[in-house]
Amino acid sequence: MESSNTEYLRGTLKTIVLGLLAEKERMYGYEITQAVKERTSGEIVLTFGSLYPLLYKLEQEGLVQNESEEVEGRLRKYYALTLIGRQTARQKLLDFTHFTQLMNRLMQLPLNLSTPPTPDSPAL
Amino acid sequence: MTPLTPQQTYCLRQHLRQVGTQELLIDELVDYLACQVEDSMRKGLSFEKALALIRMEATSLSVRHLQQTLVRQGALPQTGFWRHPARCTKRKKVAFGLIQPVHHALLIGAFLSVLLTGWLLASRGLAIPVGLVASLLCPLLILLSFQAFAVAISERICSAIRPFGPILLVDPPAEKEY
Repeated sequence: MESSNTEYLRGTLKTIVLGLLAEKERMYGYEITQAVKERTSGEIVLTFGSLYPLLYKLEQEGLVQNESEEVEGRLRKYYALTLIGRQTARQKLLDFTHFTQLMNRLMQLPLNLSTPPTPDSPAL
Repeated sequence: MTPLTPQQTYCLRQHLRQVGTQELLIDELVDYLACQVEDSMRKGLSFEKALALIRMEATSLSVRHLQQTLVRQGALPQTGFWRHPARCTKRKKVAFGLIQPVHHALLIGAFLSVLLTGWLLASRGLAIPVGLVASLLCPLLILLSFQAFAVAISERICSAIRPFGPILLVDPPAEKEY
């Protein structure tokens, strides 16, 4: 299951981060990973190796801007959506919702897959 | 949540430096890992255990992969190949006088070989010609050794002002987004 999650996440990580940033005024790196972890009950865990390249990329694309602030003696970088970033986030979330609806319609679980196979069941 | 002490934060910073993190990235990663440590400590772990977990996650491999990705994106500057630690170790050791350069070692080896050969031949009754050769060669070798010693000293002085900048990674592997 883990490998499937990773596979699906590849295409949706940008939407996830944009969606989270759209909900709050600004967030820092660890806060984003924690939000993802909490909302998925620990099933999706982002590492700094996957998060920071995306944040830097969003920044390069002008969707996100950062501001540094000293917190508890450390320099913390907060990320916030720009105006274009907010519009992109909205569009991405709408596209994604539409896509999941399509997938739900497309991927109806067939009856022969809804129950696990038993030893008596005929082999295909 | 109890914030980390400056000493504990310093430990994290040192760990990141040890695994070759670029200075441009270090503040952000220190904050990220410090938050992670604070979270682990809030759940009851000691700082040492939390740090051990961090060491397992923030390995030189994972940091290198992150930096390579950021360099490819253009978010981090690319530094020269010659600054790679694996490439420079011997150069640094020579510069700091921890090991001898090869030509110094060869000179010392040649000097000792002549002495040993002279001693062996002298023990077989060939003392006069060997003494003659040794008396001609030894001052020359001693002079060369002194010269090599002077070069080593000057290299050591130069090394004090030689920049050894941040560590670098070239030759990135295939991109992996997640």
